[in-house]
Amino acid sequence: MKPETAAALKRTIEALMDRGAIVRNLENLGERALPYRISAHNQQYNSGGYFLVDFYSPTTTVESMLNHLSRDTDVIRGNIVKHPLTQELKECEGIVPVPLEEKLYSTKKRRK
Amino acid sequence: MVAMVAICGGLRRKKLTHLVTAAVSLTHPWTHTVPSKEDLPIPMENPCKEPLKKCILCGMLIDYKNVQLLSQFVSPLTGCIYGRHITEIAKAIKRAQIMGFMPVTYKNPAYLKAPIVCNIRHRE
Repeated sequence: MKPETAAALKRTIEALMDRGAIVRNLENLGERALPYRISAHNQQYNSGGYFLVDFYSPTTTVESMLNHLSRDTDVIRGNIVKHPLTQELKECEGIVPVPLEEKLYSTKKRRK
Repeated sequence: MVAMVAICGGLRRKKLTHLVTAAVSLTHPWTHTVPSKEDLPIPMENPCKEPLKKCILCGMLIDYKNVQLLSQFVSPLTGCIYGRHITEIAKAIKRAQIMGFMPVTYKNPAYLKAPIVCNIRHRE
Protein backbone atom coordinates (compact mmCIF):
# COMPACT_ATOMS: atom_id res chain seq x y z
CA MET A 1 0.00 0.00 0.00
CA LYS A 2 1.28 3.43 -0.88
CA PRO A 3 2.35 5.65 2.02
CA GLU A 4 0.20 8.50 0.65
CA THR A 5 -2.99 6.48 0.91
CA ALA A 6 -1.99 5.35 4.40
CA ALA A 7 -1.40 8.97 5.41
CA ALA A 8 -4.74 10.06 3.93
CA LEU A 9 -6.55 7.26 5.79
CA LYS A 10 -4.84 8.20 9.05
CA ARG A 11 -5.86 11.83 8.55
CA THR A 12 -9.52 11.00 7.95
CA ILE A 13 -9.74 8.65 10.91
CA GLU A 14 -8.11 11.23 13.16
CA ALA A 15 -10.60 13.82 11.96
CA LEU A 16 -13.41 11.36 12.72
CA MET A 17 -12.13 10.79 16.24
CA ASP A 18 -11.70 14.54 16.81
CA ARG A 19 -15.40 14.94 16.19
CA GLY A 20 -16.15 12.32 18.79
CA ALA A 21 -16.65 9.23 16.67
CA ILE A 22 -15.72 5.74 17.81
CA VAL A 23 -14.18 3.83 14.93
CA ARG A 24 -15.25 0.21 14.94
CA ASN A 25 -13.72 -1.24 11.84
CA LEU A 26 -11.78 -0.30 8.73
CA GLU A 27 -12.08 -2.38 5.59
CA ASN A 28 -10.14 -2.15 2.38
CA LEU A 29 -12.38 -2.99 -0.56
CA GLY A 30 -9.39 -3.03 -2.91
CA GLU A 31 -7.93 -0.68 -5.44
CA ARG A 32 -9.79 -0.86 -8.73
CA ALA A 33 -10.75 1.12 -11.79
CA LEU A 34 -13.59 3.51 -11.15
CA PRO A 35 -16.85 2.76 -13.01
CA TYR A 36 -16.77 6.19 -14.62
CA ARG A 37 -14.28 9.03 -14.79
CA ILE A 38 -14.65 11.19 -11.69
CA SER A 39 -13.36 14.74 -11.57
CA ALA A 40 -12.45 16.14 -8.18
CA HIS A 41 -10.30 19.09 -7.10
CA ASN A 42 -9.58 20.12 -10.74
CA GLN A 43 -8.27 16.67 -11.55
CA GLN A 44 -9.73 13.61 -13.21
CA TYR A 45 -9.35 10.13 -11.85
CA ASN A 46 -9.83 6.74 -13.51
CA SER A 47 -8.86 4.44 -10.66
CA GLY A 48 -8.84 4.62 -6.92
CA GLY A 49 -8.81 2.74 -3.66
CA TYR A 50 -12.04 1.94 -1.85
CA PHE A 51 -12.10 2.02 1.95
CA LEU A 52 -15.01 1.39 4.30
CA VAL A 53 -14.99 2.78 7.85
CA ASP A 54 -17.49 1.59 10.48
CA PHE A 55 -17.98 4.12 13.22
CA TYR A 56 -20.39 5.25 15.90
CA SER A 57 -20.99 8.96 16.07
CA PRO A 58 -23.64 11.50 17.03
CA THR A 59 -25.77 12.65 14.12
CA THR A 60 -24.76 16.31 14.51
CA THR A 61 -21.18 15.63 13.45
CA VAL A 62 -22.15 14.10 10.11
CA GLU A 63 -22.36 17.46 8.36
CA SER A 64 -18.97 18.67 9.54
CA MET A 65 -17.46 15.31 8.60
CA LEU A 66 -18.79 15.55 5.06
CA ASN A 67 -17.43 19.07 4.84
CA HIS A 68 -14.00 17.85 5.88
CA LEU A 69 -14.07 15.03 3.33
CA SER A 70 -14.98 17.36 0.50
CA ARG A 71 -12.06 19.65 1.37
CA ASP A 72 -9.47 16.84 1.48
CA THR A 73 -7.62 16.65 -1.85
CA ASP A 74 -6.74 12.98 -1.49
CA VAL A 75 -10.37 11.96 -1.14
CA ILE A 76 -12.07 11.60 -4.52
CA ARG A 77 -15.60 11.05 -3.22
CA GLY A 78 -16.57 10.62 0.40
CA ASN A 79 -19.99 9.46 1.63
CA ILE A 80 -21.52 8.83 5.03
CA VAL A 81 -24.36 6.35 5.18
CA LYS A 82 -26.41 4.63 7.86
CA HIS A 83 -25.07 1.22 8.80
CA PRO A 84 -27.13 -1.31 6.81
CA LEU A 85 -26.87 -4.09 9.42
CA THR A 86 -28.57 -2.00 12.11
CA GLN A 87 -31.81 -2.07 10.13
CA GLU A 88 -33.91 -5.05 11.11
CA LEU A 89 -34.70 -7.47 8.34
CA LYS A 90 -38.48 -7.12 8.16
CA GLU A 91 -40.15 -10.46 7.66
CA CYS A 92 -41.44 -10.58 4.15
CA GLU A 93 -44.65 -12.60 4.05
CA GLY A 94 -44.70 -12.91 0.31
CA ILE A 95 -46.56 -11.45 -2.61
CA VAL A 96 -49.85 -10.24 -1.13
CA PRO A 97 -52.62 -10.89 -3.68
CA VAL A 98 -54.13 -7.58 -4.73
CA PRO A 99 -57.92 -7.66 -5.30
CA LEU A 100 -57.91 -6.43 -8.88
CA GLU A 101 -61.72 -6.44 -9.12
CA GLU A 102 -61.87 -3.38 -6.87
CA LYS A 103 -59.35 -1.58 -9.07
CA LEU A 104 -61.33 -2.15 -12.26
CA TYR A 105 -63.62 0.81 -11.79
CA SER A 106 -62.38 4.11 -10.40
CA THR A 107 -63.88 5.23 -7.13
CA LYS A 108 -63.53 8.94 -7.88
CA LYS A 109 -66.62 10.95 -7.25
CA ARG A 110 -67.79 12.18 -10.64
CA ARG A 111 -70.01 15.21 -10.77
CA LYS A 112 -73.24 14.46 -12.59
CA MET B 1 -95.44 -44.56 9.83
CA VAL B 2 -96.77 -47.95 8.58
CA ALA B 3 -100.25 -47.33 10.02
CA MET B 4 -100.50 -43.97 8.21
CA VAL B 5 -99.62 -45.52 4.85
CA ALA B 6 -102.33 -48.16 5.25
CA ILE B 7 -104.99 -45.51 5.86
CA CYS B 8 -103.92 -43.45 2.82
CA GLY B 9 -104.17 -46.48 0.54
CA GLY B 10 -107.56 -45.48 -0.86
CA LEU B 11 -106.99 -41.69 -1.23
CA ARG B 12 -105.83 -39.74 -4.30
CA ARG B 13 -102.16 -39.06 -5.10
CA LYS B 14 -102.04 -35.39 -4.07
CA LYS B 15 -103.61 -35.97 -0.71
CA LEU B 16 -101.33 -38.95 -0.24
CA THR B 17 -98.20 -36.80 -0.66
CA HIS B 18 -99.57 -34.20 1.77
CA LEU B 19 -100.16 -36.84 4.40
CA VAL B 20 -96.74 -38.38 3.77
CA THR B 21 -94.95 -35.08 4.21
CA ALA B 22 -96.95 -34.39 7.36
CA ALA B 23 -95.96 -37.80 8.69
CA VAL B 24 -92.30 -37.13 7.88
CA SER B 25 -92.29 -33.85 9.78
CA LEU B 26 -93.86 -35.46 12.80
CA THR B 27 -91.35 -38.29 13.08
CA HIS B 28 -88.22 -36.14 12.35
CA PRO B 29 -88.59 -33.05 14.50
CA TRP B 30 -85.11 -31.60 13.70
CA THR B 31 -86.03 -30.32 10.23
CA HIS B 32 -88.08 -27.41 11.52
CA THR B 33 -86.28 -26.52 14.75
CA VAL B 34 -83.26 -24.19 15.19
CA PRO B 35 -79.95 -26.14 15.58
CA SER B 36 -78.30 -26.02 18.98
CA LYS B 37 -75.42 -23.66 19.61
CA GLU B 38 -72.82 -26.44 19.55
CA ASP B 39 -73.63 -27.37 15.96
CA LEU B 40 -73.18 -23.90 14.44
CA PRO B 41 -69.96 -23.43 12.35
CA ILE B 42 -67.07 -21.98 14.39
CA PRO B 43 -65.70 -18.79 12.82
CA MET B 44 -62.04 -19.42 11.89
CA GLU B 45 -59.75 -18.46 9.03
CA ASN B 46 -59.41 -20.79 6.08
CA PRO B 47 -57.31 -23.78 7.28
CA CYS B 48 -56.59 -24.93 3.73
CA LYS B 49 -54.98 -21.60 2.81
CA GLU B 50 -51.67 -22.03 0.98
CA PRO B 51 -48.72 -19.93 2.18
CA LEU B 52 -48.22 -16.79 0.10
CA LYS B 53 -45.83 -17.03 -2.82
CA LYS B 54 -42.47 -15.40 -2.16
CA CYS B 55 -40.45 -13.37 -4.57
CA ILE B 56 -36.71 -13.83 -5.17
CA LEU B 57 -35.65 -11.10 -2.80
CA CYS B 58 -37.94 -11.97 0.08
CA GLY B 59 -35.40 -12.82 2.75
CA MET B 60 -32.32 -11.12 1.32
CA LEU B 61 -30.55 -8.08 2.70
CA ILE B 62 -30.07 -5.71 -0.23
CA ASP B 63 -26.78 -3.81 0.14
CA TYR B 64 -25.29 -1.12 -2.05
CA LYS B 65 -21.98 -3.00 -1.88
CA ASN B 66 -22.89 -6.25 -3.66
CA VAL B 67 -22.71 -4.87 -7.15
CA GLN B 68 -23.33 -8.26 -8.73
CA LEU B 69 -26.84 -8.53 -7.31
CA LEU B 70 -27.65 -4.96 -8.25
CA SER B 71 -26.26 -5.35 -11.76
CA GLN B 72 -28.71 -8.19 -12.38
CA PHE B 73 -31.51 -5.62 -12.31
CA VAL B 74 -29.83 -3.25 -14.76
CA SER B 75 -29.98 -3.31 -18.55
CA PRO B 76 -26.66 -4.32 -20.16
CA LEU B 77 -26.89 -1.81 -23.00
CA THR B 78 -28.22 1.38 -21.46
CA GLY B 79 -27.94 0.83 -17.72
CA CYS B 80 -31.67 1.35 -17.16
CA ILE B 81 -33.05 -0.05 -13.94
CA TYR B 82 -35.47 -2.87 -14.70
CA GLY B 83 -37.37 -3.26 -11.46
CA ARG B 84 -38.32 0.38 -10.86
CA HIS B 85 -41.28 -0.69 -8.78
CA ILE B 86 -39.04 -2.61 -6.38
CA THR B 87 -38.16 0.51 -4.39
CA GLU B 88 -35.43 -1.01 -2.23
CA ILE B 89 -33.47 -2.23 -5.22
CA ALA B 90 -33.84 1.10 -7.00
CA LYS B 91 -32.60 3.01 -3.94
CA ALA B 92 -29.59 0.71 -3.55
CA ILE B 93 -28.72 0.98 -7.25
CA LYS B 94 -28.83 4.77 -7.18
CA ARG B 95 -26.68 4.80 -4.05
CA ALA B 96 -24.09 2.47 -5.58
CA GLN B 97 -23.97 4.54 -8.77
CA ILE B 98 -23.44 7.82 -6.95
CA MET B 99 -20.82 6.42 -4.59
CA GLY B 100 -18.74 5.04 -7.45
CA PHE B 101 -19.40 1.33 -7.06
CA MET B 102 -21.51 0.75 -10.12
CA PRO B 103 -21.43 2.26 -13.60
CA VAL B 104 -24.42 4.29 -14.69
CA THR B 105 -24.65 4.15 -18.47
CA TYR B 106 -23.76 0.50 -18.93
CA LYS B 107 -23.57 -2.79 -17.08
CA ASN B 108 -20.31 -3.88 -15.56
CA PRO B 109 -18.93 -6.39 -18.16
CA ALA B 110 -17.68 -8.71 -15.40
CA TYR B 111 -21.29 -9.35 -14.34
CA LEU B 112 -22.77 -9.80 -17.80
CA LYS B 113 -22.88 -13.57 -17.41
CA ALA B 114 -24.91 -13.42 -14.20
CA PRO B 115 -28.17 -15.45 -14.12
CA ILE B 116 -31.15 -13.59 -15.52
CA VAL B 117 -33.52 -12.50 -12.81
CA CYS B 118 -35.85 -10.04 -14.51
CA ASN B 119 -38.16 -11.46 -17.18
CA ILE B 120 -37.36 -9.02 -19.94
CA ARG B 121 -37.14 -10.09 -23.52
CA HIS B 122 -34.35 -8.54 -25.52
CA ARG B 123 -34.59 -7.97 -29.24
CA GLU B 124 -32.64 -10.71 -30.92
